Amino acid sequence: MKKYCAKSLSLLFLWLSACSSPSKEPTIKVRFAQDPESLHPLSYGNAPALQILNYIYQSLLTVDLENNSIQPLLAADLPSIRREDSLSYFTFTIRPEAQWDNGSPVTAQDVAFSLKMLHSPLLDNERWRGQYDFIKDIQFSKNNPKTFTLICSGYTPEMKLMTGDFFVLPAHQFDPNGILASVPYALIRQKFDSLSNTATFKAFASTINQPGMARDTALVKGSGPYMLNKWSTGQSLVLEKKKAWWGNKAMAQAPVLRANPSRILFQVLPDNAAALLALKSQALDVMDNIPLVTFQEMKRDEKYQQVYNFYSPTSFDFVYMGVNGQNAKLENRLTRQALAHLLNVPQIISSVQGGLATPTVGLVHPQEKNFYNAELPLVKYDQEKARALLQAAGWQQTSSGWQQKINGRPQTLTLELLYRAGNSDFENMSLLFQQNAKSLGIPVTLQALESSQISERLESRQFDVYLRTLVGTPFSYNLIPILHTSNANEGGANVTGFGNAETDLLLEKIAVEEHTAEKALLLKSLQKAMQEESNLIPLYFQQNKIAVSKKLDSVIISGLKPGYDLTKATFKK
Amino acid sequence: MGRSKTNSPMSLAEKASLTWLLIFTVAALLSQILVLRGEQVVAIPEQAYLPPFTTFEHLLGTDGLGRDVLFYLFLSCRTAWLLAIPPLVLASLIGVGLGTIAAIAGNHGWRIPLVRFFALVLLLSVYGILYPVTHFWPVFAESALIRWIYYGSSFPLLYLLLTKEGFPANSGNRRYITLAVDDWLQKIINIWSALPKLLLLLLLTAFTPFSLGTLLGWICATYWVLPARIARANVLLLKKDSYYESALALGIPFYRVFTNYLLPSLKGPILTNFCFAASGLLGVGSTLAYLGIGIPADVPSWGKMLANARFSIEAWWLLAFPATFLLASIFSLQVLGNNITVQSRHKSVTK
Repeated sequence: MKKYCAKSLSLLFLWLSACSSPSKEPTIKVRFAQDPESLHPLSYGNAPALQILNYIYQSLLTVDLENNSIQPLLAADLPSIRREDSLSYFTFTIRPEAQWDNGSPVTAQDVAFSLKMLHSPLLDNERWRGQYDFIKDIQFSKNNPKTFTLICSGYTPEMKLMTGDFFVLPAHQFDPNGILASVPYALIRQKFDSLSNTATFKAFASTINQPGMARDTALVKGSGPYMLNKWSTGQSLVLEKKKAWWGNKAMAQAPVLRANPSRILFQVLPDNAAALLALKSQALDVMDNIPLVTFQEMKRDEKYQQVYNFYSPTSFDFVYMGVNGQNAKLENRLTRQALAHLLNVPQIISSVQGGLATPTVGLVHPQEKNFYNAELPLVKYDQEKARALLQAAGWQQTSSGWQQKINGRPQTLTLELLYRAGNSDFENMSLLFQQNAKSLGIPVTLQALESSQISERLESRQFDVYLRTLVGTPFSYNLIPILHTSNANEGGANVTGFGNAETDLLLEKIAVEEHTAEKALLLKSLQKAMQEESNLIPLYFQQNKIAVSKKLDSVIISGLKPGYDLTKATFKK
Repeated sequence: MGRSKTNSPMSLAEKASLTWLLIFTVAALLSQILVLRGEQVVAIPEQAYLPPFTTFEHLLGTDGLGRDVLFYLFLSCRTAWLLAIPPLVLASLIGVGLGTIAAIAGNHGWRIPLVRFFALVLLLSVYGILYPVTHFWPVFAESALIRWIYYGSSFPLLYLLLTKEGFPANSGNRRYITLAVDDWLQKIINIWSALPKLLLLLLLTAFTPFSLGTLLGWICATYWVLPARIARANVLLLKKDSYYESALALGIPFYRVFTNYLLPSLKGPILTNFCFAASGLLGVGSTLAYLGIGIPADVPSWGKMLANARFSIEAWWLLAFPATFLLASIFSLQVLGNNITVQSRHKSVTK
């Protein structure tokens, strides 16, 4: 009996010791506020998913977070561009070393397959079909299986990144029977509807749409440096560096391919308080979007100064107040300008944002020195100016508020301010705006709504004013969707009804202008026009609040999403 | 009923509770006056997070937006009071009414002539169809007169239908429909009480825009169940008593039977329930505010201040003061409820 006990105990210990040390590899622990919706390369949905997919799959081009420049990733070089009439030709060559996990090379055929995936019927690719509609065809080189040319309609500067911004997927893995290989790219686009009825495409779609594609560790794999090791929903995701990754050899010449950490653990902690507790007990190495007051308190605390570096890089998240220019009360631009004078932006930045925000005159980040209109003054908080503007707009102050007859109907200037429920920053800003407006005699009702409810109200134009964040990038100034008058009708994205023939022309020119100097002139006049119209009253560009463990070296902090780049990080010895 | 009252002297806790509730009510009343005059807590962001007891101006300190904590808590009394007392009074009235009707009418007590029943259904459906027309059709939507006609006409018509005695001609041939009032009420109560109250409130508030008015309505709709149960059970007991039967036999009108014979026995349990439900509601109201649901951002509330306290650990006063106010009010109501239970047990005829 004793022997039996001893044996079983020693077995138990063996088993325990096998469990408790899963890996000796140093692991970087990162906080995720939510699970990825799905790791399907076509329909990943949210930001955490994209972040993970960027470690697993690769695109032809990438943006280097260190200096916001476009770099070739899977491509050997930036594309050579040729323009003819209404078409433009982008010629890429894939890195000679690039190969899939099974040793077969990444070829132009894989790129063609990936493009076909973006346009195939019965797949969840509606968003991509619109976005990549401009890629008309793909031509293969006869000499090199790794060289190809994308034929695009028209030319815009955004195409320099867009032509190489989709994931290149392994054709042999997603389509072992070669169903898509037999159908040319142009044909898939033309015969979209009729192909959707064929049995082969139905069968293909059912394999691509199977749930495993979105989370199975055996199916989610690409040419990137990492593979998905484990995903426990609501708990964590583990990425492990591939031992024999092709990029290891090419890294020396191409720093963009560098991938140092051998293991990255993404801890899913939806609750901010729980995440902060984990951060404070040093169970996390990287956390972004830390709530302001905690961030300030930790930054002041010596205990945390010793273990964390704190960063607040400026982001391209533009926070603004939208005003409904199609609403009878707010039709007059002077009324809208008056509202702009009721927002005390410096006060909001110092109190609500703790100074961690950048004031701006418009949609262009002040950091983009070429394009930012620095001559334009920031709109100041000024009650008297607001009063004068309201009077100039025809409003008269009576005992029951500001009144005037608009289109034969008596109107009283009252406002309903919409903002997302649960966003405490917006709530505080709303309260401050309400207080300022009240002292001028404008009653403001605050309405906290769910995000989808706000979108609904905006789309049906049933609103006065709202607070929102616009996520931008410095790579594209194609503002036609949100500012052009052709999108001002119900359902269009230009919800504030901004614009006239002049600004439409400006927007169209900006979208296609290539030369920096001309583009700068155009953008500056757009910023001026936007300030005059005041449909979007700018508040500030947000700054991210990130803590990174001092154990890590060379983590790149950036204003672009997700705010940090871990691939070049190393552990300090 | 010559029962001598057993007036036990009040304990210290009870005195303190009563005093606190009195202060609470007076504060609520005063802040209602202030709100009517358009006063609100002024936010001075430059004075954010002032600790308490440092300046005379902000005795209890300021919050993250530089609002005076003392004044904020004072104005919050109104919100807490409004969310607890009026909806509970209304819910108790509804509950007692429904419970008594169910107990008295039972499953066979309410017979309505078939014709009248169908007329009632027809009338209700016509008004139901007219509702969107009068409220949302652009021509009518802005006319107050149409609404007055809509609501004004409904009451006399309903009154006529429910009270007018006898339809002309062959009354012997009339058919009746029996409404199983008790059964139906029981079913509704069972379904309604199966859902947790807080969850139900969360669900209901999702359907309407945030405002105090709608929240009051929803609380009322959620809290009538327990008074209805208590009233029904008590009336069912009293119904069997001989004094009730003799009162009926003497032909005393029902409203007097109710006020003189039923209500005295109902009062104790209903008041007890009221106190406990009110203390619960203070908690629920604060929870909703804490979660940021139902109460608009510009309406001050203890729960909201507690929610703001999450953002800063150093600002302990944002947690301590509203929590003290909330706990004091809840405990006071509990103590009072306890007291009423004890007293009504002494007085009850059905003990």
